[in-house]
Amino acid sequence: MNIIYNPIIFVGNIFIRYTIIVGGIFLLFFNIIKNFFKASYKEIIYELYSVGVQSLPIIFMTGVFVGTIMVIQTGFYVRAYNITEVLGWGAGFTGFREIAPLMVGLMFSGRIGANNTAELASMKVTEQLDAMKILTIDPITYLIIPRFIAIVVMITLLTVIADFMTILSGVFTAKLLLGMDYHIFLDSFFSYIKISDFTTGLMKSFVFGIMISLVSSYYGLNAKRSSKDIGFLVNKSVVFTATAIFLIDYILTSIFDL
Amino acid sequence: MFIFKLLKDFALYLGGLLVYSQKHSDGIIRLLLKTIITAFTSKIRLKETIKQAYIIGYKTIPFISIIMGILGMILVTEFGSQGVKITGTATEVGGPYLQLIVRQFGPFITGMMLANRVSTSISAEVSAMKITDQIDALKMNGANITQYLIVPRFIAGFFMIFILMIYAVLVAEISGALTAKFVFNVPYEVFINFQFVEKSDIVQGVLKAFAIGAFIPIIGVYSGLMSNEGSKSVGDSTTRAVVMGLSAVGVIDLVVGGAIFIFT
Repeated sequence: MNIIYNPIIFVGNIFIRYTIIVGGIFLLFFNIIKNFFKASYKEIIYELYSVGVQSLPIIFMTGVFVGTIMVIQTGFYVRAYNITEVLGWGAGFTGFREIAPLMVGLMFSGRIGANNTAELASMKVTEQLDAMKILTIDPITYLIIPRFIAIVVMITLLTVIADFMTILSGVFTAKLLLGMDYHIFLDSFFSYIKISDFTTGLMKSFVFGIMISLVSSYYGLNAKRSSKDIGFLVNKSVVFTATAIFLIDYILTSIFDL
Repeated sequence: MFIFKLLKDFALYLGGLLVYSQKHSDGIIRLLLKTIITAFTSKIRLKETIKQAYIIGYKTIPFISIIMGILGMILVTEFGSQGVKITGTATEVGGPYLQLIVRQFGPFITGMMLANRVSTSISAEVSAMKITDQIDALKMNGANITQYLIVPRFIAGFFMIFILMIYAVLVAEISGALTAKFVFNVPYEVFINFQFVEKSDIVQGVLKAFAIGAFIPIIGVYSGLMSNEGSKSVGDSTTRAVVMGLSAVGVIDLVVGGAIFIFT
């Protein structure tokens, strides 16, 4: 209700709050870059395994959703104007460039980002991070950097799998709902889709991965000392990540397309 | 040999996942039916419902405005650049854009965002109540948990999410029109074009909005009630709420879209 009584205080509060968060995220990023090569390989391998395996089923599902939804939505136009040769292009282009990275990013933020925040926050609340500092183990090198590397590498690689599932489920949906032969879909797909569409999607996923790991680690490390807060922290972290993903997506889209 | 072991592990994993998701979807649908029956048969706590509507509806407006505004910019940039490549102008984009927003992206993206925002906040609240034994205390005092906790959230969520979806379509259309004007120099009266929107598109959007609105609060409560002792389970239940919410939105979108495609 402050917005009506005193809009200046309202806007100023929001500005200060988000400046602190964005500043903290950038500081964390510089900290990660500075200590990048000090992380232990064992931890990195372990995190790569756990992040990749944990999110594989979700990525499969995401790819299937993207392919099916895109074919259904393009299918309305294909049926209305009887233009079967654009179906593969319509589904592949929007799927690869826009929807698959976006969906993979959101799913990753829900599965891995939220998990990361919850884990770090519960470590902070139960004072495990302080215990590590006393043992002269830096939480940044030991916990954050392996997660950072794992999330960024895995989201980029798993986007390839999601793209593959997009094509596969698109082909099946086209056969089931529109009665189109496999080769018509694949012909249209391979003749119109360029390699740049695929790499644009991967690039987007890469940047989303950096964002997801930074935001979720920031919120986890800044937990207050109460276990009840963890849920709300996860909520805040997921919401912030989603906003950041959309904002970055717009910036990258306007760089690549215009 | 290694590849067989990998395949076997994967099959086991997939089977476990199927059992897991079947169990939970079963539980969620049971809880939904129970909530609907309770909402019709017992007294509704009006004050609590209004408070929840404030939290779910009013407090989510800035988030939805930002997301849908950016989504409109993204989609118009993407479609418009293709239009410029193929036909030389971006004037044709407006009609199909509005149609796609009404039947697909409005409900779908808003639903995903609400799964992030609303499911998690409900789940965090309920699981914090659960681990501090407040729910057991309520039960001891003879309160019906479904009537006391779940029904207000369900009713508030159901109506507020429907209103938010309409608002989201409006925001996306306005931001799309602005983008078309400033990036591709398409006049507003050319861009804002209702010709493409048919009755079936509106039916599709409304059905998706209702289904998503019914499931999102229930998923939050369900995953919150699943948490047991310990502070770790609060975070776990919130994570679970996001994943379940996002998957539910995807499934609803798929089912409603596919059904409309087949029956029209």
